[in-house]
Amino acid sequence: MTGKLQPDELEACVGPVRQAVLSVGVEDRDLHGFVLPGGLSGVLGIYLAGIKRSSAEDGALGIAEMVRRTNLASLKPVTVQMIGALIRAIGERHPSAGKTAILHALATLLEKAPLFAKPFIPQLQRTAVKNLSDPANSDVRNEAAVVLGALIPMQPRVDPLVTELLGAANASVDDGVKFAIVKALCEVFSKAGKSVGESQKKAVSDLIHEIVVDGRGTAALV
Amino acid sequence: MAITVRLMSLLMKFQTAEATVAMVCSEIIDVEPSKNSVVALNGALLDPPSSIVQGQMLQEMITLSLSASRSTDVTSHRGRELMSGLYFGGRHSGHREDYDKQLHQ
Repeated sequence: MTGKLQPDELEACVGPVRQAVLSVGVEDRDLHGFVLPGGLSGVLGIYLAGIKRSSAEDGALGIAEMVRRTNLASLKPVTVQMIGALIRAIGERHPSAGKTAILHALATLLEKAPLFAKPFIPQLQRTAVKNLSDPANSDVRNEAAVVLGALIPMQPRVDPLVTELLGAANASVDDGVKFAIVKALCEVFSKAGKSVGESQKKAVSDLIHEIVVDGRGTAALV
Repeated sequence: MAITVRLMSLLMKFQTAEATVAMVCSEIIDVEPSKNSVVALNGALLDPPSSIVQGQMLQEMITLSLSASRSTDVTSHRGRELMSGLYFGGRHSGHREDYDKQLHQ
């Protein structure tokens, strides 16, 4: 049925379908319709139409809700399509709420099915680091930090990420951005502190000194 | 600042003892007491690595806590100084007497 609808007609279905899913399903329990063969494709098509157009927030939240109501075996065939669409969508012009919802969907997917997302690690990391520096909205930055936190255990080497984060922190003049980057560094150390190299630890120590003693960056948030 | 102190606390778990001691000195002990240094002190004491809760380091941190409690610049952080005392008391009861003695001098 959804295959015969035009994109704008599909988009109009995003809100009602989300409501329907929420009313019949329970979070973290499989929804019977979703785990039937091909059961996800109809609803996913509607949500993807939403994130490609102006209903990015509802569409992405719908995807996150769908992921939490589907088992891994049923998710596997659609994961590549889902992550690819979410990564493309976040590169487009969306309001902050839409970006936050897209990052939330990615974080939910990474939490539930980290192995399926492995081929996308480089793009996901770039997306997360870029959104950590979003100057306009702290929700976007916080959700990007969550995505980054989910990616860390999947990476054999974290030094390039630490270096990239430190570069972004040093380049930033915005306290909110620096706060998000420090939060992301906390994620790195709490999940993979043992893998961080000595020179990176020294650079992190310098950043801390800059904030605590010199009063630059997140000191204003005391 | 709180998130920076959390990062400092995490970093200390993965540094060498020398680097940790150097860090505590440069961020906390060897600087003028300030709101930031007192928050950092409490962050360091919340889950301290063994290298900083012994001997002279411990003594210097007690002295700093007391000095911070008397500082007019950081009076609003008096409660934090008392928290430092509880950390010492709870985790290293052998040092509590030292702390109390200094507190009442």
